[in-house]
Order: sequence, then structure tokens, then C-alpha cells
Amino acid sequence: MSDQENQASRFARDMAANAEKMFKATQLIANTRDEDVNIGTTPKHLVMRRDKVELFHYEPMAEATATTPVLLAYGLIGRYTMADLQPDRSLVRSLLSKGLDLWLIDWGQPGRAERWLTIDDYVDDYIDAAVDRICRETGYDRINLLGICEGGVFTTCYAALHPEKVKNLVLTITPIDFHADTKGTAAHHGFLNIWTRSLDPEDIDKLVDTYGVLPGEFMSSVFSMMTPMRSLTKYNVDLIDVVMQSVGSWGYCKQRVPSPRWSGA
Amino acid sequence: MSEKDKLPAAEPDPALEWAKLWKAMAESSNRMVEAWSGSMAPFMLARLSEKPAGFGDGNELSAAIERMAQGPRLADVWDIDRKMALAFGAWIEMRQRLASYNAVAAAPWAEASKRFLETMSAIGTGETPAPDWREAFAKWSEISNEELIRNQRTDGFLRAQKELLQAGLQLRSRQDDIAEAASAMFGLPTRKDFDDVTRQLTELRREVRALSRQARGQKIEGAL
Repeated sequence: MSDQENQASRFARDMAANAEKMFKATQLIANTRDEDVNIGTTPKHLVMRRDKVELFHYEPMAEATATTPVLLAYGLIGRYTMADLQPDRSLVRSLLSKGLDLWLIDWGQPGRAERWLTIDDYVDDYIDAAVDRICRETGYDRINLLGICEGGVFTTCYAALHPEKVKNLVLTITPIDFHADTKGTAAHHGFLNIWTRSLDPEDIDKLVDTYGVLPGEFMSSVFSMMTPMRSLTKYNVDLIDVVMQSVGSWGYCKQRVPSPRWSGA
Repeated sequence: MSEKDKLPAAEPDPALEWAKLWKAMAESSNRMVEAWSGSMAPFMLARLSEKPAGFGDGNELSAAIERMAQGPRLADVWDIDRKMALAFGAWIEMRQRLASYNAVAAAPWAEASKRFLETMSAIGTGETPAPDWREAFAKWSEISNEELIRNQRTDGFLRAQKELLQAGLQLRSRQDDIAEAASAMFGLPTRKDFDDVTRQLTELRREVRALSRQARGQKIEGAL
């Protein structure tokens, strides 16, 4: 058999095998409903509401190993469910299973009515009120802060302003140096910094004046530019791999399918 | 004198009068748009045939409309038409910026295709077996990603995107002006009114909370 014939038959074999996987992937997506995708289900109860911001306390899942309360604060981009996706992919459950006393700030969904809020409101009002409430509920005068993404920026500011109320500050995926990309880092790093600096301050003001907030679709589109090809393929070609990993379990498969609420985020 | 003549003249219905005025304005603006479409279509086609990039490299048309719309004003007569004309100008400007952006954003795909073909030609020769389609796709994805990321950091791309954003915001702002004028005409609260209320509410909350903190501090000091 010639090389060309070999290649042709190999291509045909590959296509046949992958067509079946694509068919299964399509079938899986078609049969999956919102109610099949359970995220953010770890038991918790509401302790305080301030405007749209809510403070939750998670139910303990193991014997306490560290009693100082931990307050988890994520960013205004995305939702708290990023830390509690599903039972086997949950930072929240992982921390609870280690015996931590876990609290969470949910920022809600800011709309046009929140356009006048400043970073001072988030740091010195919402976080401060949450910390005071946790201290009052638990009897501690200092707590641990766990900041995720932009929540890390807020908690860093809070720890700097109120060190007497913070025992430990833990940060994850938190941007701190917004000019790090100017110091010769890898080509795919710091795109958000470069993109933001390419705008004039008046552009940002006009964006907020016009829409009241930075629209989610807009943020999503800028974020997708950080990993352009990944953003283009993750909900189509990459689904083949999701099916391949499913090893025939539809239940497991459904858990692997990202919720529509996450699409493009 | 008949009975009918003795009756007082009926008061004009303001809602009806507004509806008539609104209809007249809408018809007038429709005529204006039709006139523009008729007169500008040959000009636009000529421009497209002169320059392959079309309107991507110029904004004379929207500038001309803007000048026309911002001509002599007679108090607020035909103000809604002026606002519509400005929105139309902003729409043309945005389309031009979008064309420019698309041209800049399309550039890396050509380079990626060239590099991909070179890479695949090199792999397919000699004793190296030809990759299956997933391997080929992974290579295409890797090369495209590199080219897209490189392009996104160029001044040309960032400028094109900034100008598109500015034009989009201008269009949205002009559309909002029309919505504001229509709301005001019918006595409905406008978005500016809503913004004013929420600003006052936010400031009021801040004041109340600051006072509350102050009172709590004084209470604690008093207890010590």
C-alpha cells in the first residue's frame, strides 16, 4: 500500500472513530438539563445581608482542627460557585473536610444601581462588616482571610488597612503587580494589563457611564483573548476528550459538562 | 343658536397631540433616512470600489452627518430628529471601526496558515509518519494561538480595538439620548433620573453607616 493510501485509510479510520465520539458528545449535551448540573451545593446558611452582599456560614463537615474562622472572598468577576463547583471538585468542601470554620462573602450580581460603589465600599464597608459580624458570632477578635482573584485584591487592601482584625492572609490567583508584564515576562502573560493600559481613563469612565457596570459579555470576551485558541475550542473539539474521559458513565459525564452559566466565563 | 353651538369647545387631548407630534417626527426622520440612503448609496459604492478596505480607513461620512446634525439649532424643534441623525452617524462610524478591527484581527490567521503548512510539509516528508488529524489539529491550535497572542499585543491591534470600543460606546450613548428624549416626552422617568436616585441612595447609605460606626465607637469609649 502506498504512503498516500496509508494516510487516506488512517484518516478515514480516525474520522469514523471521532465521529462516533462527537455523536456521543452531542447526545450528552442534548440530554443534559440545567437541573442535572448541581453546583454550589455544600450546605451553608445566611448570616447577614447588606445591600446585595450576603455573608454565609458553611456547615462543618469534619471535626474542627483550627478554630480561627476563615472568610473566603472571591472577585466581582464570576460567582462564588467557582469555589464549590461539585462535590468532587470543590475548594469549599476540601477546606471543610480539613476541619476549618469556613465563611463566605457572596457579592450578588451588581447592576446599574451599584454603579456608584467604589473599592472603598467593598473593602471598608462590606468586608469590614462581614469581619465584625464573624468576630461577634465566634468570639474571635482576628480572623483568617482567603482571597481569590479580585477578592485577593480586596482582602489585601483590607489586611493593610485593618491588620488588627486579620490573623492570616491567604491569596490565590490574585493580581498584585499590574505592571509585571513590562518586566520581560512570557509573551502570554499580562494581557489584561496591556489591554487595560491601551485605553484612556476617559474610555473606562464612559464605559461605566454608558452601561453602569462593565458588562459580563464584555469582560468574558476580553478574558477569552488571554487564551484565544482554547476559548475557540473548549466547547466543541475539546468535548471529544470529555467523552473519552467519561468511561461510559453518563452520571459522571454529566458532572463533567460545564454548566451553561459558566459558558464563556 | 343651536344646542351644539352653546356647548363649550372640547379641551384638546394632550396625549393625542403628543401622538400626532411624535408621528410627524417619525415620518420626518424616516424621510430623512430614505433621502440619505438614496443620496449616499452611490457615494458609498464608489468608495468601496476605490478602496478595497471600504470605509475602514476614513470616517468622512459620519463626520459630515455629524456636521449636518449639529448645524443651526432652533431651540428644541426637531431635536429628536437631530438625535436620530447623530445616532445614525455614530452607527456608520462604528461600522467603519469594526471593518478596521476585522482587518487587523484577520491578519494572524494568514500567518498561522503559512506556518502550519510549512510545519506539516516538513513532518510529512522522510520516514516520519504523517500525524493523525488530532495531532495536526493540536499543531494548528498551537501555531494559531502563538500568532493570535502576538497580534493582540501589537499597537495596531490595541488601537483598532480601542477605537472600536470608543465608537461602540458613542453609538450606545447616542441611542440612549433618543431613549431619554422619548421618555421625557411622555413624562416617564429617564435613566438619568434612575442614576440620580441610586447615587443619592448610595451616598445616604454611606452617611448612615459612617454615623452608625461613629456612634458604636463612642459607646465603646464610654464603656471603658
